[in-house]
Amino acid sequence: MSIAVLADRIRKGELSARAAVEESLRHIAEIDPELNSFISVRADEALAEADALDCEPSRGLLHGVPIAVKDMIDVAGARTTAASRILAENVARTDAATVEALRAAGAVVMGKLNTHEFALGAMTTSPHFGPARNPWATDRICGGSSGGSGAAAAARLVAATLGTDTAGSIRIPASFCGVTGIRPTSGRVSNRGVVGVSFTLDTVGPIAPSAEDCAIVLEVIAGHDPRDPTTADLPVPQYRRALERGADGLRVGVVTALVDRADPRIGSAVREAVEKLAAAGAAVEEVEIPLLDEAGAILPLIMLPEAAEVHLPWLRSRLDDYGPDVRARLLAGLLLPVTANVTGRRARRWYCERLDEVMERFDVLAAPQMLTAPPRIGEETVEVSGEEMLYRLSVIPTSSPWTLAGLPVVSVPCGFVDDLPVGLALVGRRFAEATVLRLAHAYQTLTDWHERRPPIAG
Amino acid sequence: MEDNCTLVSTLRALALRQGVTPSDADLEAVQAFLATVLVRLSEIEAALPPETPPAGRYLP
Repeated sequence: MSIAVLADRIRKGELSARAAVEESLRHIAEIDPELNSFISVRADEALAEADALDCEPSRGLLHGVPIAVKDMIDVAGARTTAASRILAENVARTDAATVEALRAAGAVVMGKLNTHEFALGAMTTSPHFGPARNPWATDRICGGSSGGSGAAAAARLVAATLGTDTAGSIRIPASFCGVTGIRPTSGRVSNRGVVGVSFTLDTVGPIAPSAEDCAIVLEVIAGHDPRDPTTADLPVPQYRRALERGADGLRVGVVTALVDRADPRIGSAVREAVEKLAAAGAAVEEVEIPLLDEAGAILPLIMLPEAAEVHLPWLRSRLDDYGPDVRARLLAGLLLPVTANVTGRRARRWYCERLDEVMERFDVLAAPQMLTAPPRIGEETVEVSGEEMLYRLSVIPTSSPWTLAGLPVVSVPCGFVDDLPVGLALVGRRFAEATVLRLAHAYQTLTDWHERRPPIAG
Repeated sequence: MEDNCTLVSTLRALALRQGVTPSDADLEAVQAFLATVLVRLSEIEAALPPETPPAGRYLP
């Protein structure tokens, strides 16, 4: 049931918030032992909060709707572990800004979702909390770092989830798990109360079955936060209303360099999706993105030193408590030359100015979200264009170019390869989330990929 | 091999100056990681127009 339908039924009194929460808890109890998407479940608290909501008038768009958040995001009284040993017993004293917003709109926070340790990787295979498993094939990863958020949304354990995205961490699991996820523009959503990775690049955004679901959640969590100086003081559009405008007249540039680099079957699915966009009224043409490969090299120059700075106290006192991959990433950030970050920030401007020239000609860019299907848990390599490469490097070409520019990107399901989902990335101009969601919704009115459920979801 | 030992020693010294004490295995892993990043950093340094100032948070 979509968020819009669920909220409407609760508002009309056809369903209580308690019943919605009980249903969610039942799904979590039945299905999550196989997925390991949750790190902690707030069963008693959620039921009590639902009972309270049932006794008051509607708070807003999410009244009584069960939602779960990545375990990087604080919920007062609950542990925020970041899937790490270091924060294993860290209990948050206050809600993150996004959780405050969810509660103010009536949502019930069901629990905290598995993540790659400290959101510093794209697999969600924490050595401390175990791997989150892909609902479409439980021997495979669900991507990351918001892997639990992708898995829980795909298995319909909750109506929607929140993830965080520093370098692809919402879009990658959305694609691998066959759901919709949006990385908002950097600065659109408050990061207050979120375990930091990179001040420049961190964002919070929703993952849910459809673009309409994501629009509703984003409308609730977006906006300026006076207590987070990294947020932009800009008005928040009514994203759900914007969906109604369809694709007519939108100019879409297809990033053929990435389509051609993807698994040919993924490339075909993306091309077919682009044909649908054209059928929906979008004006489609191919586009070449300048400095596309350089973007992937520039991003770590910004992200790694910023992450090392965030983690420096723990690098000094608890180095052995990190998993090996995360420890290596953080030490790399610590040991890069001091000029690397400045060069990275200069190169970011260089790249963005060139990309902005392209974006003047287009409203949205279309590309594959991933080059490959999700690897099996434990596999470190994938095959790209006939060559074996590290999985962690394979996620860079399709994620970093948009992350580096701080652009909003939505990943929407657009097909299957070997019974595993494929995602289409739609990239918009800065702060034009309404446009990418509008195009994603137009696509989803013509297709049913986003309605397909993994068999495990029943 | 000597170069490798020298580089690991240099990395260890840099880490120690920042109060961090990585193991040999950590530094070997970091070295492999940095090898890729530093090659690309050199390429970007060479290609970057010299008059480009650092980006702010909201671009352009």
